[in-house]
Amino acid sequence: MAFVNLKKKEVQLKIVYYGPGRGGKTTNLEYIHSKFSERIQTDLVAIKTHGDRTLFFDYLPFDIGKIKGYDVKVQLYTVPGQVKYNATRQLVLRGVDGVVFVADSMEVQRDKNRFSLKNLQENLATHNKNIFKIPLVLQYNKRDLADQGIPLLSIEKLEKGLNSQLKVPSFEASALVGTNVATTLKKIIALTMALVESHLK
Amino acid sequence: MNNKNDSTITDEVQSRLEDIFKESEKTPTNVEEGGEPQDSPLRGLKTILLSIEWEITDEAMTTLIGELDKLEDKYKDDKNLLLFLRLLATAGKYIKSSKANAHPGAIRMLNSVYKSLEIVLLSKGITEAEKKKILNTHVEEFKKLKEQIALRKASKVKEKKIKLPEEIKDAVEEREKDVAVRKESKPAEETREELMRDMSHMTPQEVLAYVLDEVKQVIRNEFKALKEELKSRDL
Repeated sequence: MAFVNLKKKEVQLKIVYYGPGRGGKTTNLEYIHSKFSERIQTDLVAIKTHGDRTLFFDYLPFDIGKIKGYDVKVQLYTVPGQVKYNATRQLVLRGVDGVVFVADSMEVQRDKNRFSLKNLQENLATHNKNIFKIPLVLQYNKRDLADQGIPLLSIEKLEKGLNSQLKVPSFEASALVGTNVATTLKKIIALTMALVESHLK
Repeated sequence: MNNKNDSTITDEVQSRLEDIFKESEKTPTNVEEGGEPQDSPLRGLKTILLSIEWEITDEAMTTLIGELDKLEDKYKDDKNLLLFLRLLATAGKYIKSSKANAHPGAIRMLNSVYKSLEIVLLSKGITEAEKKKILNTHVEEFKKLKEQIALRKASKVKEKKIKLPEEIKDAVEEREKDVAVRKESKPAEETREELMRDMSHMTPQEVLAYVLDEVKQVIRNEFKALKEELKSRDL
């Protein structure tokens, strides 16, 4: 459940961008930060080591304003996708309210997507959360690479392999150019808020 | 949050998000909206083939063969379609029996035959001659695959049957004998270790007595050897 401070009339939503390494999680946050910086007016905090790969996490907090008298704050996180940083992923998932799974559409990344989704399920379970119940959106990223002749998994294949059981909203995207980045974010925030609403009723 | 007017919270969130993230983004393509028509006769088959793309399991292969049986029954009067389905069934049965050892070409064939089947079955205005032409390319593809599989099998059998040449065989036997002889003569280090193991169950006094005896024996032997050497010099 999201953090609700009744005294301060504040709701905090923690959204985690999850997925295989090099899949575009950080690019999603970078796009949101650069494109909407005038409106969200906060800094993207990135703790990085070992070159340009995310080995810890990125953090982007912003307010969406007052909803029914409550100040709604959203915190976006990314996790390191590399297999060996599972402890960090588990830590970042603590208290998560919603997840965006950023899948890499490249054909060569097929197994990595699957392993990462399985890993998400396991890591959520360590926090007593169920992948089938938590607000979740799938984003099939890097669709723009098709223009460069890079073999991509078809949307049908991605849906079959990753979403046949989950049956959650999914979007084709290109985080690099921003296609459906905001749409994905809007969807996950809406789903998470709907869950918060149902808990508060 | 208040229970009053709760039904509008989600709407309010959505309209707020629209304001914040307003942009000239192209219309979102929600994946669920596109895709296969619900009433396609190949919908079930396509779903199974897509799942095989991700993982080949016994269950998936059995479902595939079952689905193909159903379709064969449905299109039993259409010779061309029947042949397409039989090609798929043959490839499917081969993959099921060979599992991870299946020739990768078989899975490629499964997909390419399916794509053509979709064209042949769902395209309007396609003539019988065109269907036959497409089918023939797949029959050729199947024949080539069969040859490749046969070659693969043959090369595996050959690998198993390879005998060692005589000179290598002799060298191997020599080497084995050499190892056996080395095992018989124990190295000093090994003898010492055995001795230590034997002494491990003795009391400290017993060990001291044993060592003293050993030392005395060594001295005696040394004296004896020395006497013999002196005698031989006197002579």
